[in-house]
Amino acid sequence: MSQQQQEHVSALVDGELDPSLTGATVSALEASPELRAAWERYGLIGHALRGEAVNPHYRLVAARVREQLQSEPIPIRSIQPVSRKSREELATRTGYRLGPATGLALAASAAFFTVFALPQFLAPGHSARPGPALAVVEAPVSSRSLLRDPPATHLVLGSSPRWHQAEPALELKLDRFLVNHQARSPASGFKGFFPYATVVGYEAGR
Amino acid sequence: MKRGAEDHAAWPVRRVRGGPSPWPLLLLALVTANQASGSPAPETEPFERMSQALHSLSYEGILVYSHDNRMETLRIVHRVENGRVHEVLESLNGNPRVMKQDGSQVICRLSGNHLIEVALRALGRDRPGGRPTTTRDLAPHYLVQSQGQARVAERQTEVIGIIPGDDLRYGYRFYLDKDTSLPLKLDLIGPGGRVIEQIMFTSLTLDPAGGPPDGNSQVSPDMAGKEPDAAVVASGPWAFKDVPSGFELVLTERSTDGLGQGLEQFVFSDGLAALSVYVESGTEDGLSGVSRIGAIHAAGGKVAGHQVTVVGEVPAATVEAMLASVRHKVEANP
Repeated sequence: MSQQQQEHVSALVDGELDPSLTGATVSALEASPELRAAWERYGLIGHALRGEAVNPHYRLVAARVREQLQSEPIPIRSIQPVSRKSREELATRTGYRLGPATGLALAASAAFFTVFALPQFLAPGHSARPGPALAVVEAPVSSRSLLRDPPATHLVLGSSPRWHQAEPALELKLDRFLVNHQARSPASGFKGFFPYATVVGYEAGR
Repeated sequence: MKRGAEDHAAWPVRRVRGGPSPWPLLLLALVTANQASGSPAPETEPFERMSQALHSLSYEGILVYSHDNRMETLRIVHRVENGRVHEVLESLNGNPRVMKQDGSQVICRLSGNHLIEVALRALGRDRPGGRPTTTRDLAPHYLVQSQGQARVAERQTEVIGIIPGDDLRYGYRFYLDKDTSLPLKLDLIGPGGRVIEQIMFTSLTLDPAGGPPDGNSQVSPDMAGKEPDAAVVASGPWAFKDVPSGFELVLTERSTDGLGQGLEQFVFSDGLAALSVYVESGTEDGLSGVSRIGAIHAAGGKVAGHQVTVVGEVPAATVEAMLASVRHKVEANP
């Protein structure tokens, strides 16, 4: 597992990887358990820092995060998911430009949060207290209850609508059309769960 | 050094600048040679094995789904009990999203708390008459070929490539478990040979003891061929002119939406890719233009005062072409 591979995985988690490198990075992921473990940690950290829910089923990485966070350096981009475009927009709005020192300060703050705060949220005995930045889904969550009753502790911030539609009613209509279409596609017999993996797995840019 | 399909970073597409695609001629030559050599070898006829594995094995695992230069994590639990399929597929990050299949019913809860429930109709019935898809069925528009072996989720797989004959449909690369034929990875290939989506297991637990008692049931009895109650065969005033090459009408349904408005669905397929044309009456709300989630595209607009929406796992040009093909017979022939 090279440093460059780690950086590519980190960029993939942040949605900032050069598309031409995606295939090779995914192939590297499937070939390297160490790289998969790194990806899981970066993903978990990214979700937490974005204030998204952390599902305990996320490969049960909590223990490993606690064990390895302090022993493994984390690429800056994985804990500072601020795109260049966002930085430029911020500079335009505020008149201030983020320099390297600012980046290090943000990284240090994020690292502090990650090392000291995140393990507490993920501790087995921790009771999920909804907060402004992080919420934890109580486990286990049955699929039926997840379908019918969205968990009250599930706090998700900053995700974009599906289909890139601003109107929820139109978004719902397109989702309904898609699910209905998948249920009637002639080749669904040998495609199995793959079409639904796309439907369920897709999450617009966060 | 990686082996087999890992050496194929992209399909070996060569195109003359400004000229027509060479794929149709090459495809025709290869298909002709294949057919002339007699029946295909078993390893080039993978679809029935995949279908049987997907609908007879019990398994669970973690999937990763790569799209739009980002990656999502999913957990799948698939059980077959007395020939009846129970499956739960849920996201492990971001907004909670889950699909549950219980026999012939599929319930999805997607982002925005969208709860959608539909009845399965086509599961396990790839071709008219219920027979599985074969390589020859796809021959007019795809080339199916073995692309070696690869290792996925710490299991050995055989790689089956499905190469499209044009840019109206995607290519696919299935990685089938050598022991069970369960697909462990899928690459979706876009125009130019670029991998645009990948879904793969990172961990897999097979539970053969959880399979169907008779060992050969593919779908539950109530699932095969069940017609949704509200659906009837439509014979409405709609026609389709100059549909995208290779797509044929395979299913027509008429129903009503939740508000009682009429809704007609026309499903077109080339044997592998499929798209649906939805025609709504009495609605002002609908998609105008093209939208997408991942590699799935939708195109919408008004035709003769009706809202028409096309949805399918095909390139944008294909849904646009299908939308442009929709005609209202009365208006077209006043």
